[in-house]
Amino acid sequence: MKLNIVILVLCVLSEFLLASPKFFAKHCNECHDSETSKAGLNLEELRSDFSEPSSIDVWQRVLEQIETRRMPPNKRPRPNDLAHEELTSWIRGEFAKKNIVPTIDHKRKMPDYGNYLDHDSLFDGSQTGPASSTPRLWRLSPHIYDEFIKNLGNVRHAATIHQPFSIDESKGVIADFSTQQFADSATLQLLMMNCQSIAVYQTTGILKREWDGRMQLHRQTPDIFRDIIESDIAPTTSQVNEAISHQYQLFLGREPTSVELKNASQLLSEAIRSGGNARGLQTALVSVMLKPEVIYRLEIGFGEPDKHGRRRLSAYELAFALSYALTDKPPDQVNVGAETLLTLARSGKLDSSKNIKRTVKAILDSNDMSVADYRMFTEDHKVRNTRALRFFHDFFGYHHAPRVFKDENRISVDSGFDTERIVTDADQFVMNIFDNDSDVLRNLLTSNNYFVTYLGSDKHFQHDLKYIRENVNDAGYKTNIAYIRRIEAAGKTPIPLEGPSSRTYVGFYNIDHENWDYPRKQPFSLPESQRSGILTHPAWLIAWSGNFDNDPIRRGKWIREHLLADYVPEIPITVNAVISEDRKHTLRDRLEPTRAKECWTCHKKMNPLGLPFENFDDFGRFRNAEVLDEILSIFPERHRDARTTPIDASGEIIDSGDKQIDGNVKSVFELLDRLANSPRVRQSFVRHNFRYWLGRNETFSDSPTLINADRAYIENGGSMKALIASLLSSDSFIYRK
Amino acid sequence: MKLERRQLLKGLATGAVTPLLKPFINNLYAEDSGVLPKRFLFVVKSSGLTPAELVPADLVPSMVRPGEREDWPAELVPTKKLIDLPLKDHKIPESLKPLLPFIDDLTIIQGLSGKMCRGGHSAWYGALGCYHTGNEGNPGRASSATVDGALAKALPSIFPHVGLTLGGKVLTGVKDSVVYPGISALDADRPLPYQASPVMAYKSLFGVAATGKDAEADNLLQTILLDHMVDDIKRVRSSIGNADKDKLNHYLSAFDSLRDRRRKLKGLEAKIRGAAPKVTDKFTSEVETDRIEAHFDIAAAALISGISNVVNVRADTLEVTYRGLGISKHVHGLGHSESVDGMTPVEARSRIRTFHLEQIARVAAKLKAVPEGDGTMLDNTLIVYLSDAAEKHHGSCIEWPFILLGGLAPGGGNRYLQYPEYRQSGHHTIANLYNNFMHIAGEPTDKFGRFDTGLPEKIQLGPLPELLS
Repeated sequence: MKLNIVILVLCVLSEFLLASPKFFAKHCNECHDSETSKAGLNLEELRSDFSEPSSIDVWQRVLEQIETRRMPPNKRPRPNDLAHEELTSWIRGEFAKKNIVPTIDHKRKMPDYGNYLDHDSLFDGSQTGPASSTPRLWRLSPHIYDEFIKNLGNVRHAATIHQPFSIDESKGVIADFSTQQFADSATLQLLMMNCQSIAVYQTTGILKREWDGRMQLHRQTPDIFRDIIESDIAPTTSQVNEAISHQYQLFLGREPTSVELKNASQLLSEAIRSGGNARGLQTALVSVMLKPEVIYRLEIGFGEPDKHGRRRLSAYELAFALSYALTDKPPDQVNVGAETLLTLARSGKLDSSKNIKRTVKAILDSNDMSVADYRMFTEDHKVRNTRALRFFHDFFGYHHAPRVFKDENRISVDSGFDTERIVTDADQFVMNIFDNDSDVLRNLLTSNNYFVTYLGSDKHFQHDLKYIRENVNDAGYKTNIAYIRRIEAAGKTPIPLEGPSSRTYVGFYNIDHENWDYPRKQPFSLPESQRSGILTHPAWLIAWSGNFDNDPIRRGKWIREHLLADYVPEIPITVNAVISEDRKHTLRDRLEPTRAKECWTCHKKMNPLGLPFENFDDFGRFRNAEVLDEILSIFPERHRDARTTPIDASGEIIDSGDKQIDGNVKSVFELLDRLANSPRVRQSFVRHNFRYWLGRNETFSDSPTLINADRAYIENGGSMKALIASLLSSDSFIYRK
Repeated sequence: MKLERRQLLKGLATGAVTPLLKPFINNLYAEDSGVLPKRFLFVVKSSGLTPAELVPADLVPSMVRPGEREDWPAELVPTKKLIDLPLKDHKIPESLKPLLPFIDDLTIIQGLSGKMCRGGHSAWYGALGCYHTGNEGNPGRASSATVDGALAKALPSIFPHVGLTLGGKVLTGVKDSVVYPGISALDADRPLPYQASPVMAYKSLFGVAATGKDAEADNLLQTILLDHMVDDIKRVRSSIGNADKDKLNHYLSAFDSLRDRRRKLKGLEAKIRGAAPKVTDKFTSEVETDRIEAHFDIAAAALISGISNVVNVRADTLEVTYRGLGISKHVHGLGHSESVDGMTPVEARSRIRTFHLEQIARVAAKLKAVPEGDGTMLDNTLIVYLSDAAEKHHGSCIEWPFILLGGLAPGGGNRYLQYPEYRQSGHHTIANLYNNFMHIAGEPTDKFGRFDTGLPEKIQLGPLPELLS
């Protein structure tokens, strides 16, 4: 027996030892032998016994490069599928023997690495599915938890409710990914404290001292709970059943099963014996609130299996999946016409893909989905599609603008560098395009129809302007009135903002705050020669800038990853990437060291895409010249005598995967226009949508889902709603395997 | 119990113990043979720990040079040879004065590098783990245990790792919940949580010590609830097959560990009651310095009561403003040398450092007041003060200063050590120092984290020889 194993191992090993050098010799050694050692990798020295940690690191890199087909590089002959498969299977097999988890498997589940899957193979129709997701548990997002607490009435006011869940706050990354979210013991402790507060609120009530010193009891106690806690004797069976049933309906939207009812009753009786009626009931109520089903969205696939062995989500599962995809509310609180999403699902009206599509569209169009978390209280845009808005935040990352630190000497206090307001303007920009639902991606990338200080309606405008006129208590009252009179005397409309420094913020759009004729109807056109889509919006430009300068590298990286579905390797450990501070030169010139051969392999993917944005400064203002020798501030008067040089906004699209758009660009506008016309960019947008709405990275079996979503987008005139409806009615969304 | 313990120890001698049990057995063995428990307290500040500010005052003229620009912190003059001086022979720097009473247990280490880490605002897990990870706003992946995580495993206790913090990730402000600052990990992909609310930290660590009839009933109800939940989750688990089993197991083990923890805490009830800090207004205060003080009270009590052997206090983040110290600018602004009312940025940073060291001194005094073996608890403790941004606001990691305090300080106290500069003969890295820590904990490591590829591997192996006592 032992001998057989030895022979087998020797056979496998010798097979590899023969095969691997051949593979390496044919495809790798020209760049990675002892003489060339490109990127510090010498495959001739690589040991194949997988025992040495440094060899394992190299094998991890080899597997990653080969599986993502990044190596051999495009210009070299491609290995055939068989050779490819042989090598990767062998490495994986060796890893398995040593219980080593391939890092690429971990990465493939992370949002940052979604593009690791070959783009062309996803869209060329070679992958036929059938698509499905793996059965999964998806921990609630903090937004859903917030909404859930809001629905419990006044408990937030009466007790401290801690947010037990957090999600990734990184810029430009889909935050709520199912694989990343779990509840551990630290989360559990917070949850338990919250649940205890809620249970007290539901029973005896929480006593709280109000702002005026008065003690007030806050409670929301159903009759059945009141009957139990106010009684001196143990509750009857029917009271117990009713109380448990009430809590199940409240937190799970369903009745308990007979087993659940039996167990909960036992718990309640035991708890009452140990702690009395009130505390006993509270314990039982907490137990329902802590059920895994309350913390996790269960998407197991309890429906019928099909011929491929896939199981459909049950009606109940589907209702929750759709509800939390589109809103932060449970399905019994999402109305679709006269029904709720839950009743629709339960009555079999979501049985077909067509019906799901129609329902999704109806919800997206209904405009009253949940409470807005942005200030878009407009009669023109009643949309409260906060989930859609969050997609744009995750995708573009522009809402990070307020988190980018700008040295105070550059902006001064109360200077009008109001990044929060700029983000609101950007929210209005993207949601207006979402509402119009026509040629969405193209408009996102090229529209110059902007919102600046739009208050949502003419009524709000009149209200705010009246307030400013009458607010004699404001320190800047006289200045405000003088400004309004001067502007109106010139036959123009004043900016409805109080305080001269607040009004200066419009300068970040290159608008002269002293003389601007404020457009009461918005969006309005900014000069085509200055703005084109969200990537030229100050919010995006600031979010993707540094503390003192623009950040062409990260801007380029964003385009590479988000619009071209490509990826850039992590920065090598040995590189200490510092941009020269020598301001005698332009930023473009200061990036020159990245043109060194060893750097340019990666930087050519980023810099030429980011440098056209040099037509803007790091506050998002359009410019034709760059200030030299000094650090730029937002105050033009400080730089009047500064040495300047004209902007070179040229760039290049290199190896985009779409030959039609590759080549030099003269300006940022040419770059964006070209990107907006590319099928590759559209497909990349579809891929990122997939990740957001399904909460995971796509796999090859999702190829039909992506192709259908892309088609739905095109056939409906660039409709993002059609794209979402297609994704949420796809096999990838509905089936589990 | 005694017999069982002997049996266990006997098992150890015959090699019949699984590796998983080993740390626990080691602890038993230590207790049984009269060896005392070992404790670590890490204090991790943001925005760099300025090397020049740690130089004894009388040596400043020869060992410190002015900063590159006006208002920038002065810099340490690199050395080509190891400097090893008794601190007592010199004038302790101003901001370190709170530690003067403990000078026999105090070691200042300068000149170690950590170029295997990412620099900038934070090296994230790398600072305590010795590897490159993360980017500007994101900690990235924890690719292996950080040294506090590794110590938590080597020195097991009811709460193996207690993390206390003001904020979350480095660029965020004060938080009030459980957060993941991205500086500690128990293992690969197992980031360690930190509690940002002192009140919540108190409840979870010392809640079991509450007294009275109601408290007893509450404890009983908690037990009933936890038992019920464990059964309930197991039932759900059996009904969903293999779907995302890890997540449910995670949730289940959270209940299990709470249950287990309560049982163990019960046994230590009296000790916990004796050590638990008094809950004052500081615990609920909005003032940052109050919250930090509360966290240090909790840290001391967690160590003294024996419920934890490894505590990490994340002393601040970049968005924290030390209003309680009269500083009107957040740490980030100070790091960028912005002006601040009534003082220079360097003075403000020095004031913050002094405040941190006052807190450390308070903990040290508390530990010193508790007899243990032939000495005090401080003799069996090591307090480690560092910054996750190494030596400055945008750390380059080319030098990484440490302040060590406590009887466990490797190589004894009363020392000022400055290692030869990067790539000079005799230079070492932070990984060597962490090997020293693991050595102290009885789980010696030869290599910690990853190598800095710019240095010979052999100098990165093993503990710092100068600190082996």
